[in-house]
Amino acid sequence: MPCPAAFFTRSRLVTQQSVGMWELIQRNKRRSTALILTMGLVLVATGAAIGFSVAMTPEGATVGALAAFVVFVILALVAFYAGDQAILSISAATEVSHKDFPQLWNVTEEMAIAAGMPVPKIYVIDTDVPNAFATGRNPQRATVAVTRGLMEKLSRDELQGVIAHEMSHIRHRDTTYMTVVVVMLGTIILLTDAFRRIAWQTGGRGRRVSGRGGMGIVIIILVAVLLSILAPLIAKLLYYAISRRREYLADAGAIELTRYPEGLASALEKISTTPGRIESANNATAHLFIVNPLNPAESRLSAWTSTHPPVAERIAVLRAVGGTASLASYNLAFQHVTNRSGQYLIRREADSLSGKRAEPLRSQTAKQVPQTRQEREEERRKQFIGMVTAGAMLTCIHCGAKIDITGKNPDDKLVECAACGLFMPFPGSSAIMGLAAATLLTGGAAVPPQAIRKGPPPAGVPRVDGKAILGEAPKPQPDITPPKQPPADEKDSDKPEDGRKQN
Amino acid sequence: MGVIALAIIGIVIFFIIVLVLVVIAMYNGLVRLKLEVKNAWSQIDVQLKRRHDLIPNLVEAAKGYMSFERETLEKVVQARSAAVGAVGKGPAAQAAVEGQLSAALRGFYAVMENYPDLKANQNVMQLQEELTSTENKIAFSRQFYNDSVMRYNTSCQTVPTNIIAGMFGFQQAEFFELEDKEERTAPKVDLSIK
Repeated sequence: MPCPAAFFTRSRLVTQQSVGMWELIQRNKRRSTALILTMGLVLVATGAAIGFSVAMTPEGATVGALAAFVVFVILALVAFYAGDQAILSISAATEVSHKDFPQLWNVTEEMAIAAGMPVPKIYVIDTDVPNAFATGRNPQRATVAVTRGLMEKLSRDELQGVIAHEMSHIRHRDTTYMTVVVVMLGTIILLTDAFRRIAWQTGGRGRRVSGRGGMGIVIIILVAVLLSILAPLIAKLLYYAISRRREYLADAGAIELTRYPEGLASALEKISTTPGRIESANNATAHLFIVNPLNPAESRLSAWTSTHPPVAERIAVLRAVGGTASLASYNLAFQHVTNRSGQYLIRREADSLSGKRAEPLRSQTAKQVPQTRQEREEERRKQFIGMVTAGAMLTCIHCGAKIDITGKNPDDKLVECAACGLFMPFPGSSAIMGLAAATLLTGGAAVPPQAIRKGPPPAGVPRVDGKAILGEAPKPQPDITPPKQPPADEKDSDKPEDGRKQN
Repeated sequence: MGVIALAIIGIVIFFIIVLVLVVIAMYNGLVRLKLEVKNAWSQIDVQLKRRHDLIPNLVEAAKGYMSFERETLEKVVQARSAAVGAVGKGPAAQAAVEGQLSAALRGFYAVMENYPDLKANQNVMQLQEELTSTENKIAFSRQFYNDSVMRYNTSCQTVPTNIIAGMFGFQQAEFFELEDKEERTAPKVDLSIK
């Protein structure tokens, strides 16, 4: 499968020998700027399309574009300046000193010395689930947080590998750029969702399209509708692809610091095989953790819609690194294990080593190749659903718990609340977009599927086949108010008419 | 004729300005790398000094228990004095002496295995973590120093910047290689209780 990130390899050509961390950071900065500019254009275009469709005049387009831009700038500034503190307080992390955790502090200080950076602030999260993350807009204002579970389960070398990975994120400015990207993504989704609702309202009224500019206006409206469907999908794909690539590069940076790949490899193994989710993580902050906190042991199937590459693959690449612990050897190992072209991570002028691709090492990930055409179509469909629903969280009407509907098949028609057992109709696609936007921008933890039932479903609710089902479609309740949504205008075909008639 | 001459002069001046800017950028780059090398070296110095300061504490704590291991203790103390004496004599000279101190300390740790009481002592455990960390920090600061030296030397040798380096007298820096080959093959000692 071609990787969308291949679009971003149009950078300065360098030879294999001279690619080092400095060049890598510069190239990543350029690429990220290009990505952000692209997303910014999509954002402004969406705003213009909305503005135009509402007002039917070019001034409307300008106003729309401007409004979109202003919304984005405000959100970005807030995320940029308050983001660190927000995620730290959400995660219930406390700052620690050398006295409290001497080993952790020493390990971090050693990595700071190896990287030539000042020592970041260190926080500890009080949970048994092992994980770690880093935030901070530059190395001078950086923070690294680890969980108590991580320190208890890992040896010194493994802990050092994890800290090195996190500090690589800081060095590569991942923490800066990805925050901006996430905010952009959320804004795009929000705007396109709003646009679709407005479009139905104006379309429903059968607006008269007059005379000369008629055809042009129709085309523009069509383009706008197309944009509103494609833009969030493309933006999400870009976000996930970039996020995944940065994880690989952070792994490479980690071994460049520690010179000991096995440390990080066994740490990843331990983290991914320990069950448990971090309660306070959500889709917006997931990329900051070392292993996806929402799905630690993810398989290859979810590769497209995950912020992290499959853990087994990362471990295999780390263990395949031989010779020097440089980016070039990591890249070689990466090619061998994943069969991707060497240009995924870095682009090389002299491709003498990767010209004839060597026999790949036996990969630790079981490549699940779909056999029949039906299976292939099914997999494609699942991936598409995953893409569309990624990040959407539904609030249970009865108990208020948040349910993660990423990847859930709308054909199921019903969503079960893990906390109280209530079944609700699957929301329409427009509602899903709103939910996804809300989750990205405001955060909030989902109830894990194995959660203990908090209480029984509401008594007065009609039951069908023993399941308590509420008939009314849930209204999405994000903190940012979307435009008012009169129930009569919901014209989604995949929303069930009446929940009571299901199953 | 006058206009063409002016145009040519204008272009020539433009190119000269560009050239000057490029030269300035390269010179600044070299200066930056050289300063990074210097900074990295001072970082090593800091860690080496830290080790010098921690060792007397360890020897004091061990003296009570290890009264029969005089030789080992004395070796460590002597190696430390030699290392302190070599401070400021440059990477090559210090490398040799510090390598010997590392070897003496390794001998000391090996002997310490025979004294479980000493190992279990609270102070000694803390000191061990600090010493392990210091050894690691020395290793990592050495690594960073060598990385900086490599970047600087590369800049001094690759084509566009080597001209500038030659013109302004930038010398190549020397690597900090430990003479003690054993240090390279010794496995990392994980003294944590896991």
